[in-house]
Amino acid sequence: MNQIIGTSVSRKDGRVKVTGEATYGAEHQIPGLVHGYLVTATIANGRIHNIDTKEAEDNPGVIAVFTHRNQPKIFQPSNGFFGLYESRLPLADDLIHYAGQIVGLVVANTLERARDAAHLVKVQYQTEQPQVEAQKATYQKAPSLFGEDFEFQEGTFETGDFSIASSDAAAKTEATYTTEIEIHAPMEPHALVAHWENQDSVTVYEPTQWVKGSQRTYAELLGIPVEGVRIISPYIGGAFGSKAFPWPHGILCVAAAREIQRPLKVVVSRRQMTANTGHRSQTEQTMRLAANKDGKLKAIEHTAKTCTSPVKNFPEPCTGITPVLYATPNMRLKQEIAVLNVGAPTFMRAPGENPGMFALESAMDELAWELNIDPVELRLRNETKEHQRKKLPFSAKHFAECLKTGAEKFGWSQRQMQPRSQKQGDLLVGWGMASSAFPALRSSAEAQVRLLPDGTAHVLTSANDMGTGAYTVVAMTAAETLGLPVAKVKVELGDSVLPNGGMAGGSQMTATLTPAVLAACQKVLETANAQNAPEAFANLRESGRAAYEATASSAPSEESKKFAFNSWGAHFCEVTVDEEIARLRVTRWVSVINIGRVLNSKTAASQIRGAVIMGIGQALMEECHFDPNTGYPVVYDLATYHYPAHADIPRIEVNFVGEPDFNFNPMGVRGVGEIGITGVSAAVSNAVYHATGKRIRSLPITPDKLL
Amino acid sequence: MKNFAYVRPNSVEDAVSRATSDRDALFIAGGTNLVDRLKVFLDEPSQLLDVSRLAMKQIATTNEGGLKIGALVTNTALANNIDVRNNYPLLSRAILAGASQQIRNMATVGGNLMQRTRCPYYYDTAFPCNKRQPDTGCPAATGINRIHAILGSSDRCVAVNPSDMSVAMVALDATLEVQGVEGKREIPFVDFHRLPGNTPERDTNLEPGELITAVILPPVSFAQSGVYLKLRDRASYAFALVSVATALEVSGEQIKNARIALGGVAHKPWRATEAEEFLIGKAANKSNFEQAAEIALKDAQALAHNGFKIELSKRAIRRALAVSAQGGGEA
Amino acid sequence: MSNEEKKLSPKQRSRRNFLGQSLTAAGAAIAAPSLLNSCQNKTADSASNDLVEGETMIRLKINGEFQKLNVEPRVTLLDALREQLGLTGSKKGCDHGQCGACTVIIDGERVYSCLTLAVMQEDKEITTIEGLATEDNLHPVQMAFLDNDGFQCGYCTPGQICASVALLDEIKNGSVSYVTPDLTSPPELASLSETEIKERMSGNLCRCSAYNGIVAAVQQAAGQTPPSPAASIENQQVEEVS
Ligand SMILES: Cc1cc2nc3c(=O)[nH]c(=O)nc-3n(C[C@H](O)[C@H](O)[C@H](O)COP(=O)(O)OP(=O)(O)OC[C@H]3O[C@@H](n4cnc5c(N)ncnc54)[C@H](O)[C@@H]3O)c2cc1C
Ligand code: FES
Ligand code: FES
Repeated sequence: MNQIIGTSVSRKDGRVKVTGEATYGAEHQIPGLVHGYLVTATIANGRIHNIDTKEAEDNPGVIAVFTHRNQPKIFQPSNGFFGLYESRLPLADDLIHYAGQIVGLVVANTLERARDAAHLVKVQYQTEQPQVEAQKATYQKAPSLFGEDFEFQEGTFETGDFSIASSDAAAKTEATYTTEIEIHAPMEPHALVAHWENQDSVTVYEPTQWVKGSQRTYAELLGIPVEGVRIISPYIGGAFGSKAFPWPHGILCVAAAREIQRPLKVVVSRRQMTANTGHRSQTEQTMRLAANKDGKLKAIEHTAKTCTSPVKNFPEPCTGITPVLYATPNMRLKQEIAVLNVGAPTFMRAPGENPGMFALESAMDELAWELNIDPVELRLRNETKEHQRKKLPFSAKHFAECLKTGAEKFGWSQRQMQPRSQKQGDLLVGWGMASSAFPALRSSAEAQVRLLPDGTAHVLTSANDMGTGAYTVVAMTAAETLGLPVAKVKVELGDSVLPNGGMAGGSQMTATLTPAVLAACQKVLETANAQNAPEAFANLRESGRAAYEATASSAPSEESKKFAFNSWGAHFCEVTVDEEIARLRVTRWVSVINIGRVLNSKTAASQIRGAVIMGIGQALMEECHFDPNTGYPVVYDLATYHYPAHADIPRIEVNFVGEPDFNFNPMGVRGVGEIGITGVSAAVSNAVYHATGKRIRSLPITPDKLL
Repeated sequence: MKNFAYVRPNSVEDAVSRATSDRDALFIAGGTNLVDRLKVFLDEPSQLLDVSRLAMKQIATTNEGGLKIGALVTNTALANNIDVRNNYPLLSRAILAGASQQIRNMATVGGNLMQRTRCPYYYDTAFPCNKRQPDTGCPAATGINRIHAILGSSDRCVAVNPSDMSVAMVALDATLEVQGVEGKREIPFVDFHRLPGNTPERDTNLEPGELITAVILPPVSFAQSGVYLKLRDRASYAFALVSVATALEVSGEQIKNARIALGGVAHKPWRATEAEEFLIGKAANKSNFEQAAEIALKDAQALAHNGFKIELSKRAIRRALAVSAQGGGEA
Repeated sequence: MSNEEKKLSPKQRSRRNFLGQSLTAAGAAIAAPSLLNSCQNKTADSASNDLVEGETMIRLKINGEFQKLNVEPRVTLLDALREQLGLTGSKKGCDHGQCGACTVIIDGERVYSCLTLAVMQEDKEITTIEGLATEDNLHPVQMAFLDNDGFQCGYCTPGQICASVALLDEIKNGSVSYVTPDLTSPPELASLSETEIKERMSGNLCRCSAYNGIVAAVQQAAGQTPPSPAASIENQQVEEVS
């Protein structure tokens, strides 16, 4: 059989993306389309005293203005898996909880008129002092996110006795690490078109990481049967966690479109997105480590404080990854949360693991210096074979290999031990490393495969591709199983009329979906009574049938409950620092990652690179700030919120190690979307320490912090 | 964005007379700053006078041996002009340090010099702002002010001018040629941009209706030693935290002539004249550069979050001078 | 075909038909869908004769064809392309000149279409992403993006590609950048360094961060040999499926 899995295949959706033909959510051209523009609050706490829409309504082209006084019909949905990003329904009442909260929607026949009229809506507020400063907030114990079974466990956990264990340790470190608010800032703004064909059925063209979830939730919000909602989301211009559930603007758009019975488009402006479409909370974490002389960890204490919003209780689960990485008999984890007048924080690439590992991997580096042990060696000595909270052995774990291979590829043995000892002309050169880890998640999915007489196979599923490469790995899986070239497989994704392909979140889509595709391919061959697709095509032509078709699903097995599944990695990087002018550059990067089987060596490499670069952004520049007096954001667009540009980024070498993880699923594949970002910011900050002798514990490392 | 009338004046005189008779009219050239502002309702003009097709696109050598640059020359064309690259490399570098290729392709000399501050408080009508609407207050002064002014600010405004090109222009002693209904006049570049004082709503000394027609660069014999160093939060496509333009004439060991200008630190491109004067006659060495940097920043005042810019500016000056002393180039 | 369907672009019709058929039982006649068929935009004049107050009629030359449309002066070129002409290949990422997704080429130079007004672009040659490929062939830069995985979600991609196409011409024309060591000797295609490419492409952000692939694509299009975009896979005993 032709081997396709593991090779390097160009994207199936590549051609439409490089020619501009790929049509994203709100780009669908619907006859009679009208435009909505959001009106958002300019205060962060208080209530609406008066709202005057007259001038807006009189503006040319204006069709309707919605405020809390005439909220379009919306129902409270049942709170299934996570529910809504923001618990409060849009325009529910006159209360303002954060700056940028939606207070109105203006609908007009052109975008320009809608935007202009939105500016004419005059809102008077009764303002109360907002709280947007994490340092001044009041913290309490953080809630659990999803209950025990999910990886985001309740933040508090204790084994052994931290104080006794640490009292006679050879080395101890204690430090506090902070990270700032980060925004997802996907390139495609949040946007949708809602088109009611009649009073009972609506098509929503919206980028969503979870087509079937959106369908169900919208149905509940609108009080219509699930079949009445169709979600179309063929392409997603990036999401990173921010496009999985309906946001208030989406709910409002769909509900308002019903009232006016016109196809309605709402695009959230880049500025509005800052407050309205999620962020990663700032974090303050204290790590205390205690170790023997040989580096063996005696105790770890990890406490985290994060912030949330009045409209959603979302803790950034920083401490979840700590029991996974290093063995220690004594561990204490604690997580606290405070409410600020900001929009809803939410999942952002490796929620929890990312800031959590900035703290843990920085602390491990500090410990390595303290003990004068090589940081790679320190990690090797502390590897754990089991998940210390779940008490389960890890399946197909190759963490040590990541560390060793990475060190070798990078040339780590050439490192001069002392800080400030490596130079390149006048530049200080620093080398840093950190571990990488992310849980492997999987749920159930369904796919349909169809063989047609023209010699092509079609795979249909509601799953989606937000740049992850799903179109391509689905095609590759089908091609290999069916014995066809990839070019003969057509893939249709992102439509709720298709079988349930699951959710693209928590890096689980590939691990969830490809086993279903595999099963459906096997089933269709059975139906055709053939070994492979060419045989099936022959049968098809002989029989005169129009097609063979099969649908199959796949879900985690009982067997898999005996293991803990996690992906692993190690990052090695070089930075240069021009100390006099505080100019820091990342100049070299090697990542070695263990994700079970690699399906497509090209798109998987891109996923890791993309994650590393987002991590470099977090390390060097990403931070969102709110005016302390009014609570209004002062970092609110892509000129004020910096994320890396071409010039910031070196070549990133990506290597994969380890065998397929067949305990996890029949494809042997674990996810690749988020693992790459974990540990990145620590690797950078560790390298900065090596270069300069300066330990920077608060991200991002902007020029001011290097002075 | 409010709708407006769109007019293409057919001559400079026509443009100026229209702008003078309608105080709510605005010129548009490359549009890269104005369209941006219009979209967030910072300006609500009655009409846009599109001057982009007027004939002000020449770069010519002057009788004195300098250059006269038409106001509509694009940033890209200016930065790539062979005379500019040869004789005023710091101007090329300053322009190329700004924005992105796409913006520089559209942006014009006149528009660049007239671009308004990137203060986030100015840039969002959710906030009051003395620059946008006189006497409403300056929330930046007591808010988040990491990028704000350390020199020459007032209690009414702490914004900085974002232009990179202007920093080079002020270092090179350029002169602006402007046309009003009464005719042409010239404004020395140092006097063009204003400090905020009590009238932060006025960025420049251009009178209403006046159009910039050209910028004149005098010959500067030592401009080849020119350096433009821009320090920022991202390696490219970001405004300056601090930028420095320098040039030095060194004969033997002695400094004969010095130019130092700073960007990102004040409401106008900041010429550090006193520091320049200090250097004249001194040896081109580290300690003198350090002292010059101290002098340039001696009146600097920090707000809550921008204190680092004082130190960063000093270091940038030291570095840029050191590179200029070596004959210039990339810093 | 219903009236409404007639108004849809051929691309959308094909999608609808395909999906419609996907709901029919297996065994029924199923036409082979053209899922990824080529885009055919509205080429007909979208200007109607009746001008609404505040609008003017303009004529734009886009990808070699003249298009008439009625616009208010405040309509940006980007919004005219996307909302009025159905040319949604040019993307709106920020609407403020801060991301590069809307990059188009006007009179040979790359610009942000979100920062210019449509009325200002009369009589100019506008090239958008839709105008780069021919019927049969992708533009070499488009091909290079495919080969080097110069994108993930694809949203910044049309802008990156237009920027790259223009960049190559800029190099041919001897243009300099902030990182050109000697401003009097601009780089040539063969010697164009990664540092130069990255500085010159920095006006195009990519949040998926396909930066390595994009730089490699530019190198390929410049006639250089970029490194492979694929990861190395070690010790992976690849077993056959099933
Ligand atoms: C994301 C982004 C990043 C940027 N980064 C930088 C940077 O790093 N450094 C930098 O220097 N700049 C930067 N800029 C700003 C850019 O350089 C300016 O927008 C540009 O130079 C303005 O030129 P324009 O011709 O497009 O001006 P326009 O937008 O056409 O006009 C700007 C203003 O000047 C007036 N005007 C125009 N021409 C004349 C004239 N001849 N006489 C009188 N008034 C006139 C207009 O009425 C208007 O008020 C950036 C811009 C953006 C959007
Ligand atoms: S949309 Fe034009 S630059 Fe972002
Ligand atoms: S490919 Fe997604 S933003 Fe560039």
